[in-house]
Amino acid sequence: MTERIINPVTAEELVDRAKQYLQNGHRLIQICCTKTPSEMYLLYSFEKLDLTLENLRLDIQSGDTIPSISDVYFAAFLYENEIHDLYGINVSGMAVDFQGTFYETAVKQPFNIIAADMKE
Amino acid sequence: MAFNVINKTIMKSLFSKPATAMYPVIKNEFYPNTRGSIEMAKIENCSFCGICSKRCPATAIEVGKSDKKWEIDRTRCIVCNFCVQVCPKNCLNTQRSYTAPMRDKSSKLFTVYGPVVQEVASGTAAQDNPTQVETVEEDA
Amino acid sequence: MGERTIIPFGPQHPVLPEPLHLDLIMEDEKVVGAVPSIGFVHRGLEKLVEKRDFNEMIYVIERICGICSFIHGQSYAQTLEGMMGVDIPPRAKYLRTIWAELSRVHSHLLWLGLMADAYGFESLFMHCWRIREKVLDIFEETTGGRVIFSVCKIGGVWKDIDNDTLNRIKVIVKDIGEEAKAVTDVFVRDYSVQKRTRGIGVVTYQEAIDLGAVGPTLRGSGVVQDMRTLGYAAYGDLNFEPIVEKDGDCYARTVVRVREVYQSLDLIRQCIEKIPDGEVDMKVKGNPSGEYISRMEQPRGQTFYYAKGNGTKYLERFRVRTPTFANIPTLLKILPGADLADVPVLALTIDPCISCTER
Repeated sequence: MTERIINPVTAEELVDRAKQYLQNGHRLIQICCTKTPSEMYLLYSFEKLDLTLENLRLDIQSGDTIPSISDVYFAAFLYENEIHDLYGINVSGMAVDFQGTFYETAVKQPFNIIAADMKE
Repeated sequence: MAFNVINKTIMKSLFSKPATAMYPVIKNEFYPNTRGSIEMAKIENCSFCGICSKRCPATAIEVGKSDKKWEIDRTRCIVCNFCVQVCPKNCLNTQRSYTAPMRDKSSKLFTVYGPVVQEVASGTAAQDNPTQVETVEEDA
Repeated sequence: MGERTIIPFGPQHPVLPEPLHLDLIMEDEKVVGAVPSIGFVHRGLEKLVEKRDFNEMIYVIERICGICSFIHGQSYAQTLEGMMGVDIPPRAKYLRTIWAELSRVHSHLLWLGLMADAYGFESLFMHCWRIREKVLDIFEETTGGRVIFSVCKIGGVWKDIDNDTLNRIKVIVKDIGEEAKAVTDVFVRDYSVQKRTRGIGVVTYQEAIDLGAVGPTLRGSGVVQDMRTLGYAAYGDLNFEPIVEKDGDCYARTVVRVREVYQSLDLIRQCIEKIPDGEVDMKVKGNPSGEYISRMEQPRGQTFYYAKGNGTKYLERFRVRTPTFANIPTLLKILPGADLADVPVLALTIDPCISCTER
């Protein structure tokens, strides 16, 4: 039911890989950020109209800057604004930049603090 | 192009009885499966293990083993039925009637105390007198 | 050259089921641009996986949204069953499919009512919701709740439906189909409704693909894509075809949803005829570890679930990407060029479920 193809990618080749996927007929499904005590990575998912799915995994650290793919896929600006507001990843060159006001929360970058860090 | 296609429905509803019920006069009837509120049906069997309290997603139940207290906060309970299903002694139950609205939060807790067991010199069965403290008014 | 003014739309508006804010940049009566602003219902539910173990988390995920709540719970259970390598009994799969299709019927009837309210046709709105009450009564009888069911678990379902009740549901479903005919005819054939929906908000085939639209928004423009063809739950055994319309305007999207109501009623009848006997749940041991991705079809489109576990009883990440999040660029594309009076119809035509969007 799922193709669990996950290819690793670096920040420099991200935009070129996205252009290749666009030429092959893939659409962008989502961009997800995961932060665990040991690692932090972004997952980009692309899907064709016949429902085959491929993923790209980009390993990063908190506070890094990555290029935006919203020139290639316009819908990406929503996901990139969300990961900027919740996780603190800087994205340069978004098509529509909300500059931190996409989600206004009382604590800035709430998902950046994980439960293992907080002393309860 | 058709005009006023809704006329057929309007004519039908003009001559049939209304779809809504006159609520305060005619009360609603619930089904056997309806999840209304959680009650402690058999406090005598409860072993105060605390599994229901640890598993509650809303942290609404408090269990005290030393003073044999079982307490539920009715305003936090989401009636998901998880406590009823994991109780190892099957002493929890789901009632059909909903918790009545309350004016302030002073009566939100429902507390039940376990039976007080007294040692009897002749060795016959212990005397049960479960005490039940109800601080909420239930609507019949 | 008209003067530009900015008119705020939302967050409280009678047609919107959930709060959404749009700043409309207007020149006289025509909309020239729109800036969306969401975040009114953001509760940070994805972060609760760190505090609630994987068995209790299903009750949190069900409460992400009130309209599409059952399918969120079913998808969570399905994702974790895939991660732990568990295959649930067939009767549980059929029961979940019956509840999911009933959920789709109730969601589309709710949407049809709100659409009628968007162009001012209140009595049609009330008739759609009157029919929907019968579906909610079925839910209360079989699961215990009208809106939030709490009936899925990892390994199956908590409650069974016996065969007498299933036969009664078959009769009720047939009645719903007949009663709904007179009401849905108004959406499809009436002259004044067509004046408000034909030719408004046109999205072409290529634009729908480029903007990333999903669900009836995509199928109304001629693209054939339906996640139920992947064959999860009991859909592999049922026959159905994705419903597609060619025009790409609001009328086409309304017709897609109306036809989907009848298709779901037919799928429920097929499920009740084919349901096997047996038990409905199984014991699942151990803790989840690894990653898993699953995609399902909600009433509003395609959802994407990603779960990651590390062997303890708390999951590390659970990501939900809901269909309205993917349809927002389409909304921003169809607004420029529309009249102010058409804005509620356009905002509703993508079926916004904002509390799903910002969990």
